[in-house]
Amino acid sequence: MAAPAASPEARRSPLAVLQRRWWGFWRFWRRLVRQPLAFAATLIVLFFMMISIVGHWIAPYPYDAVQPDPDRCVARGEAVRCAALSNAPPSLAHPFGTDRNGRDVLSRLLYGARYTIGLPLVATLLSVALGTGLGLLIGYTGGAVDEVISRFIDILLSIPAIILALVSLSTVVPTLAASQNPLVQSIGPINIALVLVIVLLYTPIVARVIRAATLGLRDRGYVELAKLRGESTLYILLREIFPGVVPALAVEGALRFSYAIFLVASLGFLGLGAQPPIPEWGRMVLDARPTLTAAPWALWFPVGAIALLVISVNLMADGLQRLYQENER
Amino acid sequence: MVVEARHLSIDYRIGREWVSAILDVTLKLEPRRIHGLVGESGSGKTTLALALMRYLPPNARISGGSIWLGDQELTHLSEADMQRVWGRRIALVPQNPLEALNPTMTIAAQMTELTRLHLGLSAEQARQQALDDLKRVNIADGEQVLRRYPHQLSGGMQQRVMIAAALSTQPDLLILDEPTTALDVTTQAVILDLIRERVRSENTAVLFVSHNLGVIAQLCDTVTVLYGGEVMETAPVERLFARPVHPYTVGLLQSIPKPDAESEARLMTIEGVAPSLAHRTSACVFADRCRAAVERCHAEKPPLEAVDDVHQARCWRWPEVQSGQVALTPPIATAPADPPQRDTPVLQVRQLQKHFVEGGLFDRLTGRASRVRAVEDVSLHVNQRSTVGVVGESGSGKTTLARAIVALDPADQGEIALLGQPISLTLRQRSAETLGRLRLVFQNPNEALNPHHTVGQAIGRTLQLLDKRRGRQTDIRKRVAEMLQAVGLAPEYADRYPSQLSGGEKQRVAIARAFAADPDLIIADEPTSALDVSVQAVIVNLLKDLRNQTGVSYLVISHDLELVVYMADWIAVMYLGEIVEQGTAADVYGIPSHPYTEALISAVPVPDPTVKGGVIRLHGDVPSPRSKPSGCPFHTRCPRFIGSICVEQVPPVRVSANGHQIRCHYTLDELAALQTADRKDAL
Amino acid sequence: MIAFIVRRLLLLIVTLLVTSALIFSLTQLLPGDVARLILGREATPERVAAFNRQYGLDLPPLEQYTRWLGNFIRGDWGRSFAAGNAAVRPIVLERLNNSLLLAGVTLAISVPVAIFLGVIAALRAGTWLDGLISVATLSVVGLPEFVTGLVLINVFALGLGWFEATALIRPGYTLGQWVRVLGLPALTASFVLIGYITRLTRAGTLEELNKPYVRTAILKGLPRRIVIVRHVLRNALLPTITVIAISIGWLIGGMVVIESIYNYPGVGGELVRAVEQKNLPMLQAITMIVVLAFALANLTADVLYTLLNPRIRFR
Repeated sequence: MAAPAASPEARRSPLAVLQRRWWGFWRFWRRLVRQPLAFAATLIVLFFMMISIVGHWIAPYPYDAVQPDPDRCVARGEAVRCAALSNAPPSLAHPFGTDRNGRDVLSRLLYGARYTIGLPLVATLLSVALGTGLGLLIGYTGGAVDEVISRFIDILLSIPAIILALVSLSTVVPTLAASQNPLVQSIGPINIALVLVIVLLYTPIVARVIRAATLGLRDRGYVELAKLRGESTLYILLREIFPGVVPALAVEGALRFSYAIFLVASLGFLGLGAQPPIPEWGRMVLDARPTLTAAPWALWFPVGAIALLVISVNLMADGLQRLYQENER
Repeated sequence: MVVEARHLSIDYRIGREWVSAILDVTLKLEPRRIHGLVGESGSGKTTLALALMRYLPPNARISGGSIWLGDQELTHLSEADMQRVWGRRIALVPQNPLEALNPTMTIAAQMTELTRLHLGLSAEQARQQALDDLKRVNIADGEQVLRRYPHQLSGGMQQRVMIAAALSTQPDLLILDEPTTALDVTTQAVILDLIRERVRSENTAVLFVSHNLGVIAQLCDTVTVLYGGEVMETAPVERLFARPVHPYTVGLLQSIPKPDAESEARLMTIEGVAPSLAHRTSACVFADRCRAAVERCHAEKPPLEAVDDVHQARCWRWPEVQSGQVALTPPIATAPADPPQRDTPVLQVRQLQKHFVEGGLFDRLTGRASRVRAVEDVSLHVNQRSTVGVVGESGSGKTTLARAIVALDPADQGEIALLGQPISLTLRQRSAETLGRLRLVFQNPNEALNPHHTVGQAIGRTLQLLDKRRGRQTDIRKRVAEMLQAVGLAPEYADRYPSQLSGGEKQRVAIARAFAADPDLIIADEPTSALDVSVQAVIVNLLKDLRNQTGVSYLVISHDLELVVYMADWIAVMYLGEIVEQGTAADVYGIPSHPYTEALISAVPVPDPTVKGGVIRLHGDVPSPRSKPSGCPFHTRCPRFIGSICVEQVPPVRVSANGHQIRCHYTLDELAALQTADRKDAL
Repeated sequence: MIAFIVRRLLLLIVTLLVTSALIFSLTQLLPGDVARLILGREATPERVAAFNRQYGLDLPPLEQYTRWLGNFIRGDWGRSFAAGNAAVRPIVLERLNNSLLLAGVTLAISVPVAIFLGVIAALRAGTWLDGLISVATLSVVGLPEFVTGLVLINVFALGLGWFEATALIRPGYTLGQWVRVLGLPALTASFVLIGYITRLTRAGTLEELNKPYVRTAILKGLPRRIVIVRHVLRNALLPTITVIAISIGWLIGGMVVIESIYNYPGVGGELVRAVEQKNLPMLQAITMIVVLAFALANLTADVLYTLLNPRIRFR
């Protein structure tokens, strides 16, 4: 569609210049605002991401500190020793209550965001980067390389993700745990293993999506004309094709992020992910299950947080998709 | 029964506003008459045609006027009432038959559901009638066709099925919306014959929507010209083509390239772009692009006035146009061009061959892959400062030939020489200099421009890589501005993205970029077929001007014989991957010519109702290049088929003294004798 | 057609071979001695050696793999590392039986519901109903099963008491008992599945609705209902077949969490246990079975799709 005709004066106004320079971004923004639900979801996701960064600092208590019960304290000489404040209902001091070990649920959630959001985010970014590179390459080169890698990806994808995750985790974690590398030990073998597993699972999926998008662009006239002026393959991939796959990439990235959260939380719930006392949200749910009647808050707050997060990410991904579909028309 | 639209107006909702798409249109359609509705893209012709059926997209509404089917008014009917009108009293034949047919239902199911619904036939009766209906559109083996699914039929066959189904209920109004646009010209001719002959035998009024003035001229009785959703002019077809009174109609008719025109003459153009309907003003909708516009035209919308009892026009100045007081034809400026120099070829192609292997890895391993012989034994020369045209229908291999020459799909065998120097068949082994000398312009400007790069980036990058002068970055900006100026665009366009340009502007940018590296040869693959006639004229003129200024040569690939004859001084005609004839434009258009060329010329609808088109029709479908016929590839459809020699032996190339080549078992003299005799008979 | 099936079967065999090799090499990653992991640090060297000999772990990796593969094909799926050293095959087959039962019930619930919702949403595209269905399915589709599962347990088992919170299967259940036991696990799995299939059905139907042949059908004067049922759905539901096949793969994987929430005795729960116990023979057998089931589902879907789509059938 052609730009709406405008008078010469209107064309020179600052707003018009801005619109022209940032044409794509301007349209993107206007359409995003027009989808209130997706917009709100995006804000929520950004909020959760922020929490995963600053959660450590704003948490009122350390995540593994047993809170004292002021009503059950015994003075023993100088020291006052208090019993643990187990299963306390939400109060001003503990807005989300405490769990069966007497730990503050809110603090644990704030700390845990790093594992439930941060870790999937890092893993997703890695697999998106790797998958994009791979997808662009095999989509553009085609031929036998593409055929072989694509078949292999098909096969990899025919193993249900969670099974591949379980098997990989069960072998990768002990391997890493046996390693003496101080870096591995400081990050935690389980965290590295989770990131590796997600990258292993999602790189092929991203690659397949990007490959399909690349195939659609590979034979476009402007790509062929780039070949005809002797551009290198790298230039064609990065400057001619890549901008065209960004929409597919954004949508797929958001979806992968959602599934990565899903996977990390599920593994935590199965007891195969983060290990106590790490307050990963799925693990918190597992640990709170036995005390469901005594301390329902210890269960429902993490469950609610996961639900809100996942739903928001999905709504955001859906909003992005609609946006780009609209753009195509 | 007479069908009428009276003062019909249609609005579209865009965002929160209602925008007028069709304004105050009055049409009268009579039984046994074909009324043409002609307009360029965006004129609202399809919207209007569908609105006559009271079929509107969900965001559109009828905002005024009425539609009369006999004495029944349609705009107030409920959907349930309309269901008794649709298919029964008004039928539609749409543009793309493959998409308009349900892919998972047999032809039988799709034809019989209509007659069973409206005529209350039993399954058996409906099937019998479907057979009869198919017979009436010249499908003999109806049984076969009924059992098929749409994708198993050729395009021409699909469209015949659509026409047969539409006529099966003997409707009062038949609407044909660009029914032949998706078809090849030889198939189009057959379908147009069919429409002409069938409509006269039915008591049906016909509205024929098209952008193609040739088809309108050859088929219609009366014509309405639509522009910006308004009627510009309505008249009987002979009158409209001979003495149009609206400046738009005049411009439209003169922007068609005519094969007999002086090849250095420029086409008349309609400058500017189609109006944006979002800003309908009180002015004449055509005023901005009109050569005859005066102050009044910009202030006040003219009414649709009667020129006489059969002819109406919406223009303040029609009496002056009619009397010839307004000069609508600008003095035709042509730069004196050097005549084509025969003996120094820019491009020499010798015995080029390109085969494709279809099928995946598995097929290749099991030997099930099929071989498509897309281009075979093609030899062609392009001389300096000349334009060579390659004509052919779909499947002729003309685009493959172009892509093989520029090495996008490298040829398997043969030689290519540029300015006498042999160059590699593969792209990687071609030097930057070669790439700069040999440039390509695509059919679709949307394809050619990366939507994420500005115009300046697009042209600048080519300069940076290929320009022999290889300037610094600042020079490149200056050169981009120069290039844009050369194609008639302001330097500010450098900052725009393709989505901010119109189709014609995009094609100009694409051409500017092709010229950026100061090329010796430009291969243009259907350079105008994605554009409207009036814009096509602008591009054709531009290409001619640039040739005269820079001394470049063109190899123009097109399905449009008229355009090629107008543009080129040497023409090659391709059929199933082979050049069956080549020679000067005059030789190819004249006698003798290859039987296929003859049929092609005969099939072209001439945009003049007083000139009756040729009568040679090609029957059957173009064979697939996967299973190319033996001997002469044209023997399966050739109207001048000799006998077993055509099936068994590859025909020789007959060459005349001035280089005119025809690949046929007849000698040139024999062909000339046959064709002269036939022409005499026709007269 | 036959060539197509043969080709797909070949692909299936390759898939299984690659999967088994992949899983096998992953298990080779395990550091040090598997025997030590299983038997504990205190095990005597003699016991470790005996364990390795018993399971063939002292052989070179390639030989271990070919031996295991050969035995697997012959029906000998090895013996469990876990206490009792029971044969793997009967356990896996029994669990598989239970899982298939649950998967079947889930599909029977979710496919009709999802297709109905998807088609309705597409027909009413842009209305509040479409919006509601879209947001609901979007919300449900990404929720981990333990989240929906816990909510369902609390409402329907602990709260209303309509269903059992844990799924113990005993022979001789009446239909009512089956419903009480299978209800919640099947419902939990259905949630995600409904979300997924609904979304794809809506997208497919919407795409078909915008195609020119639908306009042709409407302008034939056919009643809307016939246009939808006879013309649109026939095309729109074709891709849904593939979607269902893919969701079968998901179902089997998703079962891992669901079975663990409800303590349901299926392959998923067994798999988690095998992972925890480093029970390699069990792990390999279950993986192979699950991949086989998934591949068969895909194959069936592809064949069905081809049979129902004349564009492929009569190419």
